[in-house]
Amino acid sequence: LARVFARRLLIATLLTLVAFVAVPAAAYGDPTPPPESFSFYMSTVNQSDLYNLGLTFGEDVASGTYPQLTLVVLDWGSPYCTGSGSGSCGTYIFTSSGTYEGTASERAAAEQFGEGFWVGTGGDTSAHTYLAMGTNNYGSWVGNSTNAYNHGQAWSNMVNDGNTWLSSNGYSSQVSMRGGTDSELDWNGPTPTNDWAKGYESTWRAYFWDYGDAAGCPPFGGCDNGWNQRDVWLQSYGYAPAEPLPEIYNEGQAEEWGNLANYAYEVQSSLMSFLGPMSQHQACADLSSPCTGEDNTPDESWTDLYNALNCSTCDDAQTPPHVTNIRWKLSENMGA
Amino acid sequence: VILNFSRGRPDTGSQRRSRVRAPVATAAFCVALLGGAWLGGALPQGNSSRITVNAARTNGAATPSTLCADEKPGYPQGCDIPADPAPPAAKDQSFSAIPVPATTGPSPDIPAGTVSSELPPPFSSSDYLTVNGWWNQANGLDYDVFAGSLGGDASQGVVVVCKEPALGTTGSGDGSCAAFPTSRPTGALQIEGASAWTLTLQATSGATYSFDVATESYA
Repeated sequence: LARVFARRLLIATLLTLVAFVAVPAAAYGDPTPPPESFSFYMSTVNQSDLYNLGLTFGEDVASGTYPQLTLVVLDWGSPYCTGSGSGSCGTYIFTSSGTYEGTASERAAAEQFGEGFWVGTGGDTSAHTYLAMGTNNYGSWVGNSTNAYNHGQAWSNMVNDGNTWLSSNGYSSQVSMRGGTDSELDWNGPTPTNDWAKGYESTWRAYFWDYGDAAGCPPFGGCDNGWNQRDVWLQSYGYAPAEPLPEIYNEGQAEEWGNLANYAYEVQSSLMSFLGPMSQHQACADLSSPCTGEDNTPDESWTDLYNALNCSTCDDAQTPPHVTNIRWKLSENMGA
Repeated sequence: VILNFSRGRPDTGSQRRSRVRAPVATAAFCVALLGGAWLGGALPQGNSSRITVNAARTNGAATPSTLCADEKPGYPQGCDIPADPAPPAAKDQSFSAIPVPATTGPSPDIPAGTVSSELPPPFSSSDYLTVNGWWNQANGLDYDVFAGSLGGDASQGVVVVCKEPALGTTGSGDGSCAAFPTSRPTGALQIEGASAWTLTLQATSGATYSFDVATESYA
């Protein structure tokens, strides 16, 4: 009995050493970027196109081309409402011909994507995609605070309605809808942009992801266009529905967000949880644009953000779980 | 032993330093306990210990049923898990259109040949900071022209011309963009007007330019 006890004592000691030494070493080892998902600049509300896109995507997920859990942004362009209040809103989508689409058309197209995804995954019922309905803060119309608030509220209502549709049709176990905004500091000032978020917050039941920037913010000086770090923090995390999925097209942008995470902790007592970065590598390729200095691959985007959040003086060390690569082409190069 | 990895509220400095290590250290502690229990198996009966592990992540009012992949600590309602979801749908459905109410009132579409500050640019403000845009169609191509400045240099005015097949709203994405900086750094450009395919632009410095979209050059 004494020999058995001694042997087990030795093994237990070794196990404890492994737990305290080897496991932390693994936890702090070289980070590995997660597999990429994709996002789209939207130039159509054609329901059949979106259904087929979702179908192909679902099939690709089921075959292992994409991860089981994916974050997808459908960027519908710049906000606009045709009337007063939030009852008749939509966006100028990314056609080259000034096309406006209302939220009803955009929601229906996204629902088709969700249905297509559901069908495409087949027996892979554990796959799940989070589908964000994205807009932005570009344009003079949304530079008005009342307009911005009304559009944010309309956008939130659209997302809520989308989730209700997904649920009532039996797709919600694999598809969830979210809001989204490409809030870029140089496009509009903090007041109307934050007011969009307040409008969204007024009726929210699903998060919105801020996939914008923190242009000019520390450590590179003061934030651009009258913004400060508090404004950016509010837009990306401070408001209840807001979650950060920042564009990280180069290392400098990652440093701005890493610095913002420190600000959030030290000044706002807020630990920001980053969903991950967005890269535009595929969008640049689709437009034959060199995007010089702004062309991070998804892996580079993720690694830059990871490094910026896990520096020796960082307050909010974390490992972002996702990365998404925005693109233009809806039908080609799927399964990249 | 209850493991609570919640990040729902900001923690103190010392908690912060240990936050990342806490799960690892706790796991190590459990290994030690389990090892002890296993070790205890070598002892005479009657000294065994019982360990209950509940590793579910708790967060205020959240319950495991409300967790989602992007759950935000403190705000589980954002997961929008329906209270009474419909049963899963069949997987063999084919496409059928969802009815969309017809829009009423005048179309807000931006007509061809119009200068607009709402036309969304197909690039980030970090690439080119757009002031406004203009679009037109010719020879089976849509031309979107944006005026502004380089993303990293507000003093350098630029015109960006994007072209793609005029396919309406089919979203081919088969386009390309080219940038045309002004010869001198006179500030961001704004399109003041358009006459046929010639745009009149003004820089923030007051300098004026003409840009011929057809030849893609400054006059």
